[in-house]
Amino acid sequence: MQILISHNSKEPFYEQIVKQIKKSILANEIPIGFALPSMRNMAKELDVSVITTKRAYEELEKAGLIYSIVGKGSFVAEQNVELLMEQKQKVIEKQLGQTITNCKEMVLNLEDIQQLVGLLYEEAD
Amino acid sequence: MDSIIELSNVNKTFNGFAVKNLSFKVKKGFVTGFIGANGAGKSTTIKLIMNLLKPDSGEVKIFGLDYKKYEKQIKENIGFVYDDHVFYEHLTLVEMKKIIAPLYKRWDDSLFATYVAQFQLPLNKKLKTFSKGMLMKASLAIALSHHAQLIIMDEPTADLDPVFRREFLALLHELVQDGEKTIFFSTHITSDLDRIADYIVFLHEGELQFTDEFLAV
Repeated sequence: MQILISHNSKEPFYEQIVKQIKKSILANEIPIGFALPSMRNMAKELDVSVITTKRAYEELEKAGLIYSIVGKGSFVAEQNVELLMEQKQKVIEKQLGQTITNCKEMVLNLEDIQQLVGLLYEEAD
Repeated sequence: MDSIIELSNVNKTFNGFAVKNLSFKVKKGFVTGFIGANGAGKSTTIKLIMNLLKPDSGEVKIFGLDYKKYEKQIKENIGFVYDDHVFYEHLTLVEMKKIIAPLYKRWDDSLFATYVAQFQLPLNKKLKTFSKGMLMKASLAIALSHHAQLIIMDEPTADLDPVFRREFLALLHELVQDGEKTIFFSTHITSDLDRIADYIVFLHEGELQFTDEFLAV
């Protein structure tokens, strides 16, 4: 697992860490049960404050991606259905977004698109 | 014990500097940056924390203890890095160490030797030949060599070259790894803060502006 911190980004450090770990977990780059480095160790490695990594781990825990055991550390959690749904929804949103951009280039309005989607929805089954 | 340093309604007027009704806490196991413009009262506050000045009113507690009763116990556990010359200039570092070491029960000679080597300090040159950066490193080596639980530093990075400043920040990261040591340091170089500081105490004209978690943006 490699995390890169940009000091020039407008995004807070903890968000950069959350995003990258989340991505690694969802992409299965780090497996279920994998022990993450301690907050203090990660802070040292990334050259950020402990409170930054603490906040990142808290966010990841809240999202159900990791769990922590006092005295033992933080581990990658088994992924829940909700999370996978969210993941899929994100893909759909992205694809639809691209489609809509394409439609707009063709000067199709919302009604045209809805009609088209309706037709295709009926056909697919 | 969650707060290592605790100031409650501290007032002090001294040499034209004033600290007004100052209250804040410094959390155990974290790094707190103490910022404010020149003349804001940072050094006065640090002197109050070190019991080099007594407050006109209010209370200063370190490790939950009062200086009136527990001065020795408190000082034993503090490593202090000061920005002014606190050494005898005509002595060498090794001579200076011989004066300071007996003051601490838990002085660790081998730890001191490790830091001296790491900081590349000459042991047998007179301290008056040291540059400001070298003096700071010497001060740091001494402050870190008696297993202090609290490290207090007044403008530690001001005279450091950029290379050592990075090393210095890495060293601070190393120190807080076990979650037992607490670091409190003043600075006016805000870029030091986003790499290390967990909490910020911001002083303006002797008054506390805010104290908060520092999540660099």
